[in-house]
Amino acid sequence: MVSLDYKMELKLENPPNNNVDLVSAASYFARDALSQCVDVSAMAFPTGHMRPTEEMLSSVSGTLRNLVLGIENVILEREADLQLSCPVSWNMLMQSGFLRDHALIEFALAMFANVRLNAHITERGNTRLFDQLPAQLLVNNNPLLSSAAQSLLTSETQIRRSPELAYQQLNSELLHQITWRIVAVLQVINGEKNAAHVARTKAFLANHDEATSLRSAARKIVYFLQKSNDGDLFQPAETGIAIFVAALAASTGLDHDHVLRLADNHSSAPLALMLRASGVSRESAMETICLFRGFDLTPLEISYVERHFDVLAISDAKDILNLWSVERVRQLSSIEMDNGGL
Amino acid sequence: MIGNNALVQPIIADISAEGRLIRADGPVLRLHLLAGGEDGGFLAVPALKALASASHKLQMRFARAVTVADDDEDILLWVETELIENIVRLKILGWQPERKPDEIASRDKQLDQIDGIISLVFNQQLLLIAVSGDGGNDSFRIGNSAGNIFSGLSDGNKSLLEAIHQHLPIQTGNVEIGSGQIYSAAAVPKYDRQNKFIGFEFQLQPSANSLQATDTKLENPIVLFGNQLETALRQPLGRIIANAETIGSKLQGPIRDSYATYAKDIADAARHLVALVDDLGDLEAIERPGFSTAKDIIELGDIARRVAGLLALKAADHSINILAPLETQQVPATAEFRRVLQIMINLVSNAIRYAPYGTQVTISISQNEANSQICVSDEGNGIEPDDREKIFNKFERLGRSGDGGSGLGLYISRRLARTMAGNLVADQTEQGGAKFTLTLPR
Repeated sequence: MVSLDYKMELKLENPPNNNVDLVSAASYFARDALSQCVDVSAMAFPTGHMRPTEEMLSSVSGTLRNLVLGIENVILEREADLQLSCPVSWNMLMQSGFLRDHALIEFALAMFANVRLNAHITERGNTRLFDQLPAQLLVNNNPLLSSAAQSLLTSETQIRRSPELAYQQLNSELLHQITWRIVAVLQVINGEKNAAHVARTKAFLANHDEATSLRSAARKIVYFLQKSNDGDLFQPAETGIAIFVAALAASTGLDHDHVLRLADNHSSAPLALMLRASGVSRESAMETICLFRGFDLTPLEISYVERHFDVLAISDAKDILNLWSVERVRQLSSIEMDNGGL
Repeated sequence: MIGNNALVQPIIADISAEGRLIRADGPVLRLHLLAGGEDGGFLAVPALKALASASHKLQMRFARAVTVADDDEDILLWVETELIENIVRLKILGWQPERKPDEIASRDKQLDQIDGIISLVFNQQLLLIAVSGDGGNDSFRIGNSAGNIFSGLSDGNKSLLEAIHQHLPIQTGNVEIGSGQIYSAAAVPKYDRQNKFIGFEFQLQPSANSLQATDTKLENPIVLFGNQLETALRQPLGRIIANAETIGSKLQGPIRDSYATYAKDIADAARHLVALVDDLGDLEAIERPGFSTAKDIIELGDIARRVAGLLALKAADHSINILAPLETQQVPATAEFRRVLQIMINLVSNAIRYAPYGTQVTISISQNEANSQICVSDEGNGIEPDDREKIFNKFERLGRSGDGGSGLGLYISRRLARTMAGNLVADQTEQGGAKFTLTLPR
């Protein structure tokens, strides 16, 4: 159970002397109180969803649109100069509810979290891309590592520069599902079955190589790096976000997308929990939390981590994460079954 | 930070559309056989099977880290799939052994000991380097060669030696070892990460005839269902029950009603298994030479009321009322308190299980000059005269099944009663219901 014995204290070296200072102090405390409420609710209601922001909604919508557009381009063999900004199957897919698939939304939210976390590293991490681990691994003498690093960097570039290729980051099951849905919608729109679409879809799916996706490449790197050096993988400023998240996913048993979303949560509690479960030291965890939360980090959150991080047993942290993972899998599977599975 | 989990050459396994293992390199074949698979049969390693099946179903390539179970450890594999016509090729690029949690490893070991399985590990030169679960055979000497150990002239030994020299998996029948002891043998060749042969691992189990011969020699029979099975079976079953009940009661959130029902079925099945394990434990205890009970002065009225209290909820589920003797009624007896309580719980549970809904189960006590008696009677259909002795036989169910009984309760109860210088008999009430009378010395 979360301890609520923390006493709010404010050192008033220079007492507030006007209304602005008072308002400032009040809002400071209000933020602390809000943060505490969020932490408590994150512990008490671990499966509760945070309220989506406008930015989040816009990003999810954009990612879904890009996914559909990219896959449509392949199925319809669109020339580059004929590519549309809005996919032709978009409206029907939206109306039919095909794009409300829980796993798909999770993917889009994870992409959003990935962008935000990457931005934090770029802004506050004080490391350059070519100093990070993936760039170093490009010249590694283990071909599995160097090729995985190449795939990872290629994927990161694609995500930034060619968002309509975001479908390449989907896992095989999800890509299969959404692609055939798009084919079905195109058939409805055209009023007939198009053998060429089907043939191109089959070839497209057969050629998709999951190993080149960002998450798979990152997981492969984590797998093939020596276990004794695990500690190095929990420093996101050094490893880059993809490897950091893959290392957390491997050590906690959570899904890559799930880790991304928890790491980008509006409370630092889930990230602290994952780092604790992975055996990261308190100092290193604090550094990572500061990196991702920056100025949003309140004194209360810092105090919370300082006081409770080492007290929580690693096995207990793992147990909590395990419950979250089970709950998420259950949600995804029940929705998949409601949709008739694959 | 350069990894050492990578294989120089990937380990390959080809899986047909139906899921059969068509071709596999040694390490995968070993895992497949270890998991109970057959040569050319359906792939028996669940994680690899799931990956191959998904790849075939979707006609897509996968790249995943998967965990498979080996003997003493789990192995984390990096697997990538390829589609070659209608065949899924699994390419294992990484092989990373991970120690099983101590609790699981110890449980596996205990179950092996219980099964009487003897494990022999031979090195590349086919010399014995490790033995576990030693059955006392002098041939199992460290350093002894496989040729010496399996030197018997039987057909089984000949085919086994041929297979050893060709480094083939072995699933042979009986082999003769040492001074005529017969074992059923199975073995798998072991390979290192580079797919190089490094030895054999054998599992031997004394055949039925040998077992009988061995049993007669044992002065102190092995305790099968006591402490060893506490960790091996009772604890895991307890966890299954707890988890299934948590899911079934929707404490962790709403789930579909059908899933809640499945969870309750799982809990019930596990509870049945726990009861069976308890019964077998008792059976073993009472059949052990020298088994005895304490001679306490007990009061049967007190026991009757305790049993009625303990089973009141279960009875309420069946709309059955348990009528126990009044506080003023007291009948002393000489017996072990917890054993009498055990017998009574068994008798009253049976009455609740088999009596019609809405009836009454009565526990009455009485005494004469020599003995004290405690009776359990119900308002059911009673027991046929021919069956009244038969039901005390071991595993006798009188044709019933699926009601959660093991057929051991009454057998154990009578054995306990007789050990306490008493007896347990079945009869019929005047109204035709079943009546069990436990007699104990005063």
